[in-house]
Amino acid sequence: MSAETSSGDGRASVPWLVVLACAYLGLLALVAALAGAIATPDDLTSDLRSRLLPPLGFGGTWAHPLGTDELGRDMLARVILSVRTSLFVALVGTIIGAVLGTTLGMVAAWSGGFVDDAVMMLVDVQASLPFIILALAAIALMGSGLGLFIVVVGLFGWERYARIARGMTLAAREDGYAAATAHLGGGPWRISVQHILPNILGTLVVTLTINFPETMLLETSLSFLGLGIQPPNTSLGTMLGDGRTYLLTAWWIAVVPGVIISLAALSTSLLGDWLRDRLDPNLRR
Amino acid sequence: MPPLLDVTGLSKVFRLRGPNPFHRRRLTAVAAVDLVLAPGETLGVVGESGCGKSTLGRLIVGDLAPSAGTVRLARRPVSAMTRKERARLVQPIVQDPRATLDPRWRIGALLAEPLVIHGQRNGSADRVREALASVRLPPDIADRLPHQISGGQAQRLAIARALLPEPRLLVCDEALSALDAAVQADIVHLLRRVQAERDTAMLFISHDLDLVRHLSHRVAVMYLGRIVEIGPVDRIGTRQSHPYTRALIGAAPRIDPHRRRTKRATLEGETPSPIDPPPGCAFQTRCPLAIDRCRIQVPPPVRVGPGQIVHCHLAEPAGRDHPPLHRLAGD
Amino acid sequence: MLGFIIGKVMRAIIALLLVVTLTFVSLRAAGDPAAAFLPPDAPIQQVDQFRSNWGLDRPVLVQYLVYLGNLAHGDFGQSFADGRPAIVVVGERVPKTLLLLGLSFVFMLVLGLALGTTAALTHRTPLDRAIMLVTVLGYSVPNFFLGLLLILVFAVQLRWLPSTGSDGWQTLIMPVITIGTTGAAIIARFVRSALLEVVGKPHVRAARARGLRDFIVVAGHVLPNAAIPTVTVIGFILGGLIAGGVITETVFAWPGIGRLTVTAVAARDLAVVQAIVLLIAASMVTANLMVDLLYGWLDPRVRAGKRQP
Repeated sequence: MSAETSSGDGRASVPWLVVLACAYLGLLALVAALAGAIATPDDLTSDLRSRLLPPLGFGGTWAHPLGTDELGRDMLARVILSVRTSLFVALVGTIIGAVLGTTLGMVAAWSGGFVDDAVMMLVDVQASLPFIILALAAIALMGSGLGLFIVVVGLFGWERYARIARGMTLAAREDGYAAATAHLGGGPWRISVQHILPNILGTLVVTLTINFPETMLLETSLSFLGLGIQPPNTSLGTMLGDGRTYLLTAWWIAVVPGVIISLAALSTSLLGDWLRDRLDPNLRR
Repeated sequence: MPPLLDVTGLSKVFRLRGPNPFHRRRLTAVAAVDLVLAPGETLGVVGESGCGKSTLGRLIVGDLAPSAGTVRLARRPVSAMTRKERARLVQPIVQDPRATLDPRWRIGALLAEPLVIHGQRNGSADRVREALASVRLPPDIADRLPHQISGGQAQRLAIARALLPEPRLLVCDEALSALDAAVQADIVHLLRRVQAERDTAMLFISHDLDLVRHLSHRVAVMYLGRIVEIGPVDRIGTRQSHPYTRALIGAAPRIDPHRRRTKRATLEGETPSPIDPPPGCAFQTRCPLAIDRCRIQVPPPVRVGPGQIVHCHLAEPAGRDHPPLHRLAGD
Repeated sequence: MLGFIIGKVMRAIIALLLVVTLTFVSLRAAGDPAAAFLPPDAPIQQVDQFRSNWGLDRPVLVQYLVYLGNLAHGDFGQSFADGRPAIVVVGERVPKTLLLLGLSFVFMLVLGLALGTTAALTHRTPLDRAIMLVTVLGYSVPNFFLGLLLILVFAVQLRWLPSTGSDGWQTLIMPVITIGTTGAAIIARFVRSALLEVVGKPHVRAARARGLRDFIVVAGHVLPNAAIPTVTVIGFILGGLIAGGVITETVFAWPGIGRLTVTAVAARDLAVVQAIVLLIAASMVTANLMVDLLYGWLDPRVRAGKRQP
């Protein structure tokens, strides 16, 4: 990809695609942050007289720049609220996975023996099942409340952080500054929090940027299947799922959120690849 | 005086991960080592690379748990101490001091860390300044990051940091090997001064025989995980010594041109692998003097002179007229 | 080599046992299995029968062993949606899914290898860059959206292909493309970088210098070496295939395991969900085992245990 080919010659400038990706993600974040101010649930009142209006450029008007849906709700307002939900779930989910995985990985590295084996076994099990199947099983077992759903989504990717944190903790313990602190009498807590964590933060953040789009895809996939975010909440995946029914008559209901998701995933992978090449020698193949 | 460090029957066996999970091979890094060290004394530990001298050091500072035997410091087994108790008794000084310094921490914070750990936060700024002065580092270095100081400064800093918990034993593992000669002399001077001021004991592990001779009161020679000879520095390598010691010392360039060279026993063949050590005496496969007994029985310690103990079947206890080692080697 | 195989097989068995145990624990934690596995209106005799079959009146350890025994006999409980044994409900969907995933795998492999090899051979040309950009797009577009786009273009606008169903080869085209695209993109990038690494090595440069045609170089020297790292991603790709299958089958109303999973989860038909989870875990563990063994066979250094922990 472009980030890869342009990083080879060691230029300090940022590739324009990465700039574009950052701009797009910044816009999404801004929309999500200001969603409450620019669109309220009132904007989602159904208006059956203006059902399935096309977006601007396809015969639509400025009243509904992205058209309307099957209930006559303004697509733009719906998109704004959906972006907020999707980004929020992905963000919280990513953080849950990162914190849980890093903690488990560090605990495994420090405990060794049975605890280490148990954590690594769980990592193996995680690797033996596609996460979406696990998530579906959890939803079947416990239902799909919003809080629970965020936790389920949050479990995604924990094993990556666990692997990284465990490996790097073991390496740091073995020699160098962590061992020196231990010799001076410092305990696992001090070594982990004061020394190891700050030094592996870069690698963890890069992993986070790689995991974020995948977490978002997981949420939208589950919501698309009707098993994730439930009405009255709306996510980009829920919109796509709704739009599936109206492909024949109103393609924009599915295409608008689909394009937003795809561009978000594209931007984060461009950005993540670039970050990985730039910042983190640990993850380089 | 009771010994500060008392090591008895210390062994370390590593189980190697191999292709077959049901049959792990065993590497004996340290085998049945006994030694004692008095307060303020320096014991040099020498041997070829892979002889287990670093593992011995790591066992003593508590990096590794022994497979058998005990390490006692001030009469208490190290395995029974808390981390902080141990830190106040023994500190390591390693070859690469820069690796022991967290690259994100300023020098001042790194020096204050042992004080914080041991609950001596009060007046830590003064103690940090004192610590810097005691290793002759300028006070303004406290604001720098580890990559902004030189290798010699880093080693001084590491020593200052290790001294803050006021340990009674320093385990120096190749602590001077990475430094150039002028800086080495500096640090040697520093270590001697520290020892004189604080009565700190030192275990000085090195492959550099001259440095060891220069710094140590006594020397232990290791081969394949065992101490084959231990004794006062001026008796090591003399006629009563273990054949391996003489080969080792003969192989090193001499610093004293006036001393008459003894006839060297040259070493032939490879060092046997510690994974499958030979039966009997560890050195028998390369020993020019080996007899049948050496291939069967591990030689017991023999006291050949004042404070000098040799593990060799051919060694004669002190007081005999004709040391057989000399006779055989001189032929 | 024997020790290597035994070690890998043991790991696989332990992983599978762990999945089963976790399933058991989470089912017990979730409530009364009789309520979960039987229809709510099941007659009382059937409930009692179920309880004694599954040992629910005995200690947890016995329950666990009975559970293992039942699974070994293929008894996964009863679908509460249609009252038949879960294993039958799942089993009859297997062929359709195998057909779809098998074809998707071939499509993915062929397309990925072709794109990756082309990109590597045209390294640093516009074609290489174009292929790489397409692959980023390929794995950025989520497959539920890709599926809808395909339907929109080929079924709604052009009317070339049927949008749903599972009869005839035409119905396979869009689902196969939907599932295979992401994997093809990943394989293409992987093959490209693996090839570029190998192409720089002396024996390949020597072969090129001798004037061998490019494709002979590729076939004879580069591909065998590039195959080794590529094999390692196959297990990972398989997980992607299954995940993609769940969504794609739903989009195209393909009557396979994936769609069954979604309907069973929506209906909270736990017996069926459990059977699916265990079936998928068993196939994934077996596939990963095969990959490990294949990898060990291709690369003798792995057998010697020289891999990082």
